[in-house]
Formats: sequence, structure tokens, C-alpha cells
Amino acid sequence: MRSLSALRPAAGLCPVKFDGLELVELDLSYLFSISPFPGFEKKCSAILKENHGLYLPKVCRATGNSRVRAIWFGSFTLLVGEKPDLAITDLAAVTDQSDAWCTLRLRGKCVEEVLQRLCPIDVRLSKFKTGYVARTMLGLLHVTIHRSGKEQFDIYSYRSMSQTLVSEITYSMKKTVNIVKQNF
Amino acid sequence: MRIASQGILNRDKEITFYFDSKPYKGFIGDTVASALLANDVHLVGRSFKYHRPRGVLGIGSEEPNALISVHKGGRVEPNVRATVQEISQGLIVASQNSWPNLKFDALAINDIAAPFLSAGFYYKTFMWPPRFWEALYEPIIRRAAGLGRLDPKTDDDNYDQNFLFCDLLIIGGGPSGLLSALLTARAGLDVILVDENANLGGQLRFENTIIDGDHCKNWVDRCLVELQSLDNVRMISRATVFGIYDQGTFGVIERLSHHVQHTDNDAVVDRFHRVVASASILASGSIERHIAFGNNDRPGIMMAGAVRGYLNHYGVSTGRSVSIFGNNDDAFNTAHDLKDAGVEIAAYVDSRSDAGIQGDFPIFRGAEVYDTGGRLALEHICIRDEKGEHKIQTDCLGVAGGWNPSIHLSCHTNSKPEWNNEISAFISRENSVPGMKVVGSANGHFTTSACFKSALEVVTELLNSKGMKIKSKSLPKASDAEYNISPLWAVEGHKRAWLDFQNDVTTKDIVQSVNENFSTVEHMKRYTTQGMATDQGKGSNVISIALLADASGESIESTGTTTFRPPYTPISIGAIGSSGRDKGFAPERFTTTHSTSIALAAPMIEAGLWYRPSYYPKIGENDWLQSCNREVLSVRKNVGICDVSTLGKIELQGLDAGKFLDFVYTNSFSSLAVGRVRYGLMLREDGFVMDDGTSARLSENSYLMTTTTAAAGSVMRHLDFVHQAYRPDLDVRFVSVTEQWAQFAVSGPRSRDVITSILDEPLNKKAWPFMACGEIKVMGVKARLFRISFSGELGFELAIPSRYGASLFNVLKLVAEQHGGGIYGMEAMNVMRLEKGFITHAEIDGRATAYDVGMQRMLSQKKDFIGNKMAQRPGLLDPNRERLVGLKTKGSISRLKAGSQLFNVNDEPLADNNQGFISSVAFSPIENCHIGLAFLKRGPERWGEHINAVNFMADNQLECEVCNPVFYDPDGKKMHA
Repeated sequence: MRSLSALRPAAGLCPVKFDGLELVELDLSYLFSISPFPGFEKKCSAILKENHGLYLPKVCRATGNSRVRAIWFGSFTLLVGEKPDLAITDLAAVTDQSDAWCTLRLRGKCVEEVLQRLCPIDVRLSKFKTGYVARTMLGLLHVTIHRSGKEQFDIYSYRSMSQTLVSEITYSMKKTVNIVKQNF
Repeated sequence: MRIASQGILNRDKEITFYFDSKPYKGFIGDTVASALLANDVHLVGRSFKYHRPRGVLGIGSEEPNALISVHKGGRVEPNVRATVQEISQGLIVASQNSWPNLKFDALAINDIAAPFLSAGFYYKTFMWPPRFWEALYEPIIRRAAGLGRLDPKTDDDNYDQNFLFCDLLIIGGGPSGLLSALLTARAGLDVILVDENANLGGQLRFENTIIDGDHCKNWVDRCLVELQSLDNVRMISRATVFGIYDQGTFGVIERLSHHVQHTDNDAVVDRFHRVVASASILASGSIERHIAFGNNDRPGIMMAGAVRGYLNHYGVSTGRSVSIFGNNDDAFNTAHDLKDAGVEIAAYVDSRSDAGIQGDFPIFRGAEVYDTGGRLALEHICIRDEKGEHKIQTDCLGVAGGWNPSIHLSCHTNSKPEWNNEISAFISRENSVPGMKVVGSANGHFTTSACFKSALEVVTELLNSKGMKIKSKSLPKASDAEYNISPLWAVEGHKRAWLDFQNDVTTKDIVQSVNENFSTVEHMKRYTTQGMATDQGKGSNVISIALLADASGESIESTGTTTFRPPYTPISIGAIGSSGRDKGFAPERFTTTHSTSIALAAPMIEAGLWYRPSYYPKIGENDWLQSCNREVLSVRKNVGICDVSTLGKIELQGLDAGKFLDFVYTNSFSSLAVGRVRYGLMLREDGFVMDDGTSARLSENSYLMTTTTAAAGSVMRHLDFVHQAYRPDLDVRFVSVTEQWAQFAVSGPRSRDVITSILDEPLNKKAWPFMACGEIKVMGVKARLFRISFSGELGFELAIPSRYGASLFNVLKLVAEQHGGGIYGMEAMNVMRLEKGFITHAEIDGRATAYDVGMQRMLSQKKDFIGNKMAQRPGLLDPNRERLVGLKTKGSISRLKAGSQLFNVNDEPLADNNQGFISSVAFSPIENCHIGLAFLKRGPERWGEHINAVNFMADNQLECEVCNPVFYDPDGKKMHA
């Protein structure tokens, strides 16, 4: 029997490394959008806590841990890493988005400089703390960025734009390294 | 000449640079201006209009005269200020605006003809005959005028950009800026300090002021050491804040490698920072102004502050026998510093009879310089005082007309400055820029002590407003004297006296402007060109305004200033637009099958941001049309596969999802059965068609809407707006799933066979009638199948999670080929939808109504929907409207062109006779002729008529037949098979 093979959004494009900076694609298995119907936010949050160990995040925040996360995505929450429990489907619009997003992790000592070249928001590590989330532009791309570690950001962009996404971030990583060299 | 004991420049390493091909020596840190003056070169350029010899006037970015071209890396950058350009080993620069050379310039003949070339000359002289302007006058004038020449080569410099955020942006690193930075940073604010020069310190770089008992240079150094040690301070030097914008946003260009001669290709030349600051302090300093007197533009005549600066910073005496002409006490400092350095002072001329200057040099109080002499360099000045007239030999004259606060930036948000009589200058109004405070000499405080005091006051207020406290209020003690001034704008005399050196504007031009009734400041600027070009009148505005006020009988205050606009100084457009270069112009969206299509040599066409295959060429095919025809016939005869993933897909869930669709579509969806699909038409609020597409009911409370590729974003936005603004009561949630699913059209009589062969379970024909949908499994993967068709053939669309898109496409291609078919691209898809009369955004272009496209019956009478009422307006239902028809040519040779205008066969192709236009065309291999969709007045009533399609672009016309827009299978039997 024939079978279909799967391709990740940034297959062949990542990893990218430059002098202490690294861009990798994350294999998150499951991404589901969860948008509670009116009046069911608290119940949804409780179900998430019970089944996945995390609450619905507040605006511009993420909850959870490195294995399973709930990330504020504007009009919905993105549950990352696990399939949502069926119990929640009566209380919220739940949609499989596992193939919709290209998720990259950018980490390294100059991560702030890389992002400040691309994103018109305040990404200073002193202000954009771990667990913070923002929907913003990256170059000309619409992205959601989540600070997932000390010097680490996870970047979610449309799958179809993964090539541009990697290209933009790689460009900025390269520029960051070169500027550091140029200044010294 | 360079004076051994003077200056703070490091002279350890001597370097060579070239000016007009001649080598000169200088030191790292020298500007071209300081290095040329050190080499006794005063003549650096020719003036704009009269080609008068000109020398360095100032010492900073305000320089109007010393404009040079910098030759680097095979390219030329014109109009660079010699006072800003730092020298580097091997730097090549050249003077501008002269021919054949700087010393002998043929166009200096203009100076002789000056009486005929006054302001307004061009406007009056070159008016007739009218056709001569473009053909003769303008080319000649353009060749003769202008400053530097643009390099026609492509700008391949490497630029960079940044978005920076901070609590406080401080513009200017002089005494006020540095102290403000120290006080606020110590208190904990995140501070960005920007200065346009290579070294911070502002005016203190040029002074011998004593601060806290030490030379001011050491105070600056101590400040910098402390600021550099603080993590919450970012200092950006060689950076110009060129503009202030709303919401505390500042445009900054940082010059990174203009001062370096040899760089690798990756080196960034300029960096564009967009700085967003909660608060800002403008400490931009002040600019010294000139005095208008006869022949005041000769090389060697400079600003007195610049003379002092070149001496104290660069160790350069700008002359061997220097004179000074001033109207204020600041000029004293220049005289004393020169004297202390051992430079001969030929004369100190002060227009005030009570000037308190003392010194061991000739002093002329209550005196004026009224003329000067010397052709390529200053040789003498003519002085007039109560004792009579004196001619004094001198090779440099420092002029001190007073200081103008540098308020340009504070006016960028449309605030006008106010006149201050005490200092005879304009200062910023309070709160001219929200969140910005102006300190130091930028606010009219012209002593270092006053600068420190104003910085402390502003910082204290700022910190208090943030609930923070200043750590120490003790101020550095500076040893400078008071600033007294008695304004002197112009010295009477019959010789030409320059106001604006860059545009060759004289005092007479201002009078001429007023005489011709161009007496407001904005009119005067346009009439005389005063205040234009690279210096934007930084040194000449106030003096010109004062003379305008005098000539027009108004006060300076009521005369006011012209409008200050960004940029503050010339900046590189390349740096601002760097992020939009090459692929940065727009993101690229690729379907999952993009690589396969590229591998099959399919040319790509852009659909919004998407890249879609146009057609798939095969060996032996000579042009796109051959490939397209083959693909069309392949689908019509057998089967074809097309990637349609780019269509917008929106999933709606909730108890009221059906009601919501009823509201946004003209037709009903709440009545749609589960497992069925319906075509929908969406109107804008004005009743015109917004988009169309199919929606499938996946379950009781779940729908999948499809949009056109082009309108996916706008439809999503529309749904958001409608839900939030009009129907928040509806229990519905929606999310885009465009990216989640790769979707393929499988079209043609044998499409069912192809689908069947890849499904895990056989396709039951009865269970899958036209417009059915449901979940299926393809090789073990859950997928969605829709029995819909955009080709007019029996057709399906198969959606699968995107990760399998590329793989499934390859399988479908293979299976289709086994059934005598293949894959097809956009060209073939367009031909088939045209043959079927299906509309796209070529037809629903924002001007078409449902009535126009023949879908008025889709406007439900049983419910309300967006655009319902407006679509009923009589004008939108007028039978005379241009309405959708088909067009076809006679035979296969005659070719229709989209955009052609329609005229009755016997009418002249004039606008009054226009009958409509063609929206889409294609060659139909089925009809064996060119066909088109068009909007024609009373169209549906005119099937069978002949009409002329006029292509005004190609200047041809073609007679064609009006027909049913559905060319192929009009009763839909094939689609329903």
C-alpha cells in the first residue's frame, strides 16, 4: 500500500547557526486553537488545568511548561504539545492547527538584537519577560512570539511563509554578528 | 595650519587623503574640513548659482559651503559636508560645482552677470515660448546649476535597521545632554543618548571651559566612562535624529562606516533606528549665525565659534592673521583662545560701542565690517567706525552674529517656535512635542552653567513625574561668562551681502521678494530659495527672517518661521528603505507543492503574496499557450490535478454559526444540510459584491467557508468586524485554517476514478452527489473531500493536512497520468472557469453588484444580510447598467484583450459612446476562438449582437459577438455527472 510522507514547514531550512546564535524548527506534534464560547472561559480553563496541567493564559501571556503550553494568540489560545481533551469541545471552538504554523526557536546571547531588527515592539529582555507573548510583525510577516527561556524566543508564523521567515531571521542573525564584529 | 600645542586630537598616526586628486596629510579624527584648513586650504567649492569661490564656514552638520563628493568603492556620494566627513587613509574626495577646475571655474561668469540673475529671474525669463522650457531652458539650467552630481549606479551599500525602545531618549551629547543622561541613568531609567558627531561632548569639544576645576574635556571623559559602565545606557554616536513622529517615535540614522576607508562587503554603512521613547530630552545645542555685510562669503570668512573649535579641538589655526567681527560676548572667547595659542589677531571688531572685550590686540568698538577683498581667499577686510574707514590685511575673519537654538526637531509635529528678545533668537514652545523637554543652548541657555542648571531642572521634573528621585542635585561648576548680545543682522552698504550661502541668496533678494509682494516668510522662501537644500537654512533662517521683517515692516515675531520638516540633516534614503530591498519587498507564500512545480519548470505567477504555477511545460511545447491548451483539453477529456490550497479557508463553530453565515452571505446557510456545500455571495455594506465562494457544513454547528485567494484576508477582517460590531450576540467563533490544509482540485470526467483509487474506502457515487462533502481517509490520513468544481467538469477538491500536501500531489499526479491526464496550472484553470462563466475578482472588482453578475436571485428575500438594503437602490438595479455577458471572436486568430472598451459597431470610440469593458479573456481550445467576459450596458438583452472591442493601449479594435457568459456545458450536466 502506498503511504504519504510528511514534511515539516521549515524542512531543509533549519537549523541555522551563527556565533552563539541558533535557529531551530520545533517539532511540537500538536497545535490546537481553542476559543471558548461566551461564558465558558473559566470552565475551559479548569478543564485544561485538569487534563493538561495549565490554565488559559491571560492576554499576551503563555502558561504551561516545555512539554505542553497554552499561548495567547489573540482571538484564540493555542494549545501546544498535546491534543485537547474531548471535554473541552462542547465549551469551545477547537480546531486542529498542527499543520498551519511554522514554529522556530531562536536562542543565543544576542537574541534581543536579532529580534529588534525585525519586530516593531519592545523585545528588551528586561521588559519582555519569560512567558510573555506578542502578536507582531517580523519584517513583513505576521507572527506570534513567545519568550520561552532566558535568551530564547519561539516564533510562530504561517506555514506558507516559512521560507521568508527563516530568511528574515537568518539575515538578522548574520547582521547582528557582523555589527558586533564591526563595532569592535 | 596646525599648531603643535593646541587641540585634543590624537596625533600619533598621520594619514593621507586626497582632495581634488592632490594628497594631503591629516590625523585620525580629523574631518576633511579640519584637515584641509590644517593644510592651509580655504577654497573648497563653488557656490550654487554665481559659482563664487567658497571655503569652510562652520564646523558641524550645518555647513552650507564645504560640500564635497566622496569617492569610495567605485561609487560617488555627492553633497557630503566636509565638516562631517572624517578622513581615513586613502580617502578620495573632490570639490563640486566647478569646471574645468576649482580655481578656474568657467561658470563664474554668472557672478559677472549677477545683476541679471536676481531672485525670480528664472520665473520671469524662461516663460516663453512655452515649449522651450522642457526642450531647451530646463536642460541647460539643470546642467549649469545644482550641487553635486548623483551617481547613476545602483546603490549596493549594505544598510541595517532597528526598532529601539527606551524610557528616555536624549538628543545631543553636549553638556546638557551628558548631564541629563548621567542624572537619569543613575536614577535607573533606560536611556538612549544620540549624538551626530563622532565624539560626544557637543560644544565642549571646542571650548577651553573649566569644569570642576579641570579642563572640560576631562569632565566629558569622566561622564563617558560612567555612562559606558551603566547597563541602562545606550550611546549612539555619528547618529542623526532626523525626524520626530507621533507617539514618541524618532527616526535616527547612524553612520557606521563612512569614516572607514576599507570595509568588507558585509560592513554596514548606515543603520536606521526607529526609536520609541516614553520621554525625550532635546539637547541639540545651538548654531552660530552670520552677519550680512559686503562680500561676506569669501573663503577664509568663517563663524567665530568654528575658528575657536578648529583651534581647540583639531589644533588648527584657520589663518595666520585672524580677525573677528561680532555683536556678542561669545566672540570674546575666540579672541582669547587664539591669543593664548599665539595666533596673531589682526582686528577685533565689535558692533557694540560698550563691548567689554579686553586684550592685547587691535580692538574696534562700535565698528562694522562693511566689505572684504581677495579673489580665491580673503586678503583684507574694510572696517567702518566713528573714526572712519580702515582696511586691514587678514586671511581669516571669524564672524559672531549670535547663536540660534537648534529647534528644528521640536517643530516636526507642527509646533511653531516663539521669538525671545533677550537672546534675539527663536526658542521652542513648551510641550511642542508631547513628552519632550528642551534643555541647554537648544532652549536658549548659552553658558555651560546655565546648560547644567536647565538639565537639572528638566531631569528633576521628569523623574518626579515617574515617582523617582534624583540622587544628587549638586551641579558641576563651570567657569564661563554671561552671554550678552546686541542684534546686528546686516551692515549697510552697496556690495552684495550673503544670507544663505548655499543658495546664493543676498539681502537684496529679500528686499526684491518683498517688493514683488512675496512678503510672507513662506513666500519669501519659495521666491528666493532661502533655507532650501542640504543645510535647510540652519545658519541663514533667522537673519533672513529678521531682514524680511524689516523690509516688510513687520516684527520678527509676527513674521515667524517657515515649517521645519524632517530630515534634520541629509540622510540616506537607502538606509530608510533597506528592509524593503530585494526579497524584503514582500513576503513569499509557497504552497506545499511549490518545490515540485519548480522542479517541473513551471513558471510562477503571483497571486497576492502566493506563488502559483502558471502552467507545466512539456518537451516540444514552444509557448505557454500550447501548454495551456494541452492542460485544458486534458481536463476536459480525462482528468487534471491543480493545487488550490491558496483559497482562503475559514472554520466557523458555534450554535449560531449558520445564523452568522446567513448574515454575511446573501443566501441562506443555516438551512444547509450537514455534509453539503453551497455557493455563497458576500456583499459589502454598500451593496456591491465583496467576495464569493463555497461553504460546507461539516457538522451541526461547524462550517468551513472558502474565500477567493485574493480576498482571504479582507473576508477574515470583515467577519471579525461584523461579529464584533454588529452581531456580538451570536454564539460563533471562527479561525483561519488556510494554512492547515493543502487542497487539490481533481477535475475531469475521470476524476472520480482518480479519487477512488487513492481513498482507503471506495467512493460511493450516490453518497457523493454534486456539492457533497465529508471526511475520508487517504492512505491512512484523515482528509476532507468536497464535490465541487471550478472547471465545469465532474470535480472534487481534496483537502489534507499540509504536511502531506507535497506527497499527495505527487501521488495524484501519478494517478492522473495513469488515467490519461496530468497536472494543470493557473492559465488552464482560468480558461476553464471562463468557458464556464465563473467569476473571479476580475469581474467582482468592487464595482459590480449581484445584479451586474446575474446573481440577483441569490439575494434572499427571507432574511436580512449585510448589503441587503443598499443593493436594492434603484441605481444598482438599473437595466442600463453594464452587466455580465460573454464575448467571442470570429476564428482563432483574432485576439481579445482584457481592459478593452466596448462600443457599438457604428459608433465612434469616444467616451460618450462607451458601452462597457472586457474583464477577462482567454483562448478557448474547446470553442477554438478567443472568448471573454465583459460588462456591457443591458448586456443580457444583447446576446447575438456584435460589438467593437477597442484596445486603446494597442490602438486596435476587434468586432466580436455578445453571447451567454456560460460557454461550456450551460446546463451543467458534466458537473453534475
